[in-house]
Amino acid sequence: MTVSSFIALLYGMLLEVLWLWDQAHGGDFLARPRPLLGNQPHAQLRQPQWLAVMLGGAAIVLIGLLELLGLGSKSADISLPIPFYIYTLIGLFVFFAGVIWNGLLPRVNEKIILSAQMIILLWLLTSGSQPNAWVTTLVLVIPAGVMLFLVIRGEPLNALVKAILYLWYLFSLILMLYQTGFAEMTARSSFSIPEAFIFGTLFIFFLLHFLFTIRFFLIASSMVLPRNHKYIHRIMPTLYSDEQVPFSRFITLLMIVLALIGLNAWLGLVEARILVSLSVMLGAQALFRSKKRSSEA
Amino acid sequence: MPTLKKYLGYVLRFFDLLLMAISPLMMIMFIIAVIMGMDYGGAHLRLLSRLEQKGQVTTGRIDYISIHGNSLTVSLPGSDGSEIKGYLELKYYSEETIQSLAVGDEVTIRFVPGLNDYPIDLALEEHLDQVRGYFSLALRQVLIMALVSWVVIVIHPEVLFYGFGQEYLDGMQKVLTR
Repeated sequence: MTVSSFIALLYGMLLEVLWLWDQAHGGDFLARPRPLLGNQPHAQLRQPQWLAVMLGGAAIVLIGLLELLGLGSKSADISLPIPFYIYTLIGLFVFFAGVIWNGLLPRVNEKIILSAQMIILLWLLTSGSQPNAWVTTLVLVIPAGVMLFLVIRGEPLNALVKAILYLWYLFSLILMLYQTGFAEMTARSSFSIPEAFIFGTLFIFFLLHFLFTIRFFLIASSMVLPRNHKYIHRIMPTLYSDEQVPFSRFITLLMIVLALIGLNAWLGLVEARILVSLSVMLGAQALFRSKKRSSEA
Repeated sequence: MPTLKKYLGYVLRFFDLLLMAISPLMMIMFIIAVIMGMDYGGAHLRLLSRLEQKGQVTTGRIDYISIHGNSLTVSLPGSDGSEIKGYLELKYYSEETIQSLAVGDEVTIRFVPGLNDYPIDLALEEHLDQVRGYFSLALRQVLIMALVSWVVIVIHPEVLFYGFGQEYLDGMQKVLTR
């Protein structure tokens, strides 16, 4: 990987961490800036948005400078000391964020889970891959059917049901990682600047969810003892929300994404696995709207 | 004088607190076991995939059987007509299968051609089902590690809720004041 691509990768990772953090703390990262009350008539970006813009600007300036000086194409391989330490720090951060902390986990709801499963199913159908029929049915087809019923029904669920659905959702993300060959992507040695940026965002999102899947499997399986049920009732509101985007908006977004994936499968414009991974990630983060933010508006 | 029942209570309480104290380590151990299991399992699945998708079948002659090295050396016909050596691991096969092999035997080999068509990933074609069903000792050990750590965590799951804030503190308080 070149130095320029490495900087793009780091910015992608930082952007994703900011977005996840903002969303986990009730923010709306993609919201248009709104005028604040009082004597500030002009629209203001919130702090995470400012940070993202400034870091993005700094990354672009740095990449430009390095390219002008001819240093952009130098190697930033993991075997070199500085990239190695940076990768190690990032790995440790994501490890602790997934295993010990919950400050970066986006909250989900039935529509987010359904959209992720529909995207993955469509990709499996159009990719020509031959997934294991039993695993696909158990992890994707059946949960997608259940989620469709729950979305149409539209009633809040109890904590234990939410825990099972959330675990199913995490397993479908892992299945997608396996089917798209995400692990092989991590072993690639060369990325273009846009590829590196996208890969950085995906890497954080999916590694975090992979580690949390293991932790949440332990949480869910500890429910075999009835005395542990009380914990699930307390933590599920932080992971699974009853707040939903309007149904019409959900359907519109889902149809657009599915059409893009189908079109891409036909025309082969973009690497399919990157498009699918990006769609799932953006779906999880863009389809959630915090009631807290909309009431503050 | 405290009764036997009370002593038993103290011992059980000690083990309960011990399990709680080691539960963070057990969580880390479970995660490591999962990652190791996926690595071992994934490597084996990739081997099977390579053998089935890229494998070529040929006849070879057993030149040497190394019981200690758990492998055998076979001579295979090269693409240019010369003889090339390949190394086949015996860990996938049962004792009966290994005992039935002898130096000089002609065997059907499935192999994956590597660099310069050098054979890598060799397997006995007639016993490929044993390769498919192979459940390595390392994987078994990893599963035991995962199971033991899972049992401890189910008994004391408080560490799982660290980072969720109040849930962890509530859990700790309840255990320590029981």
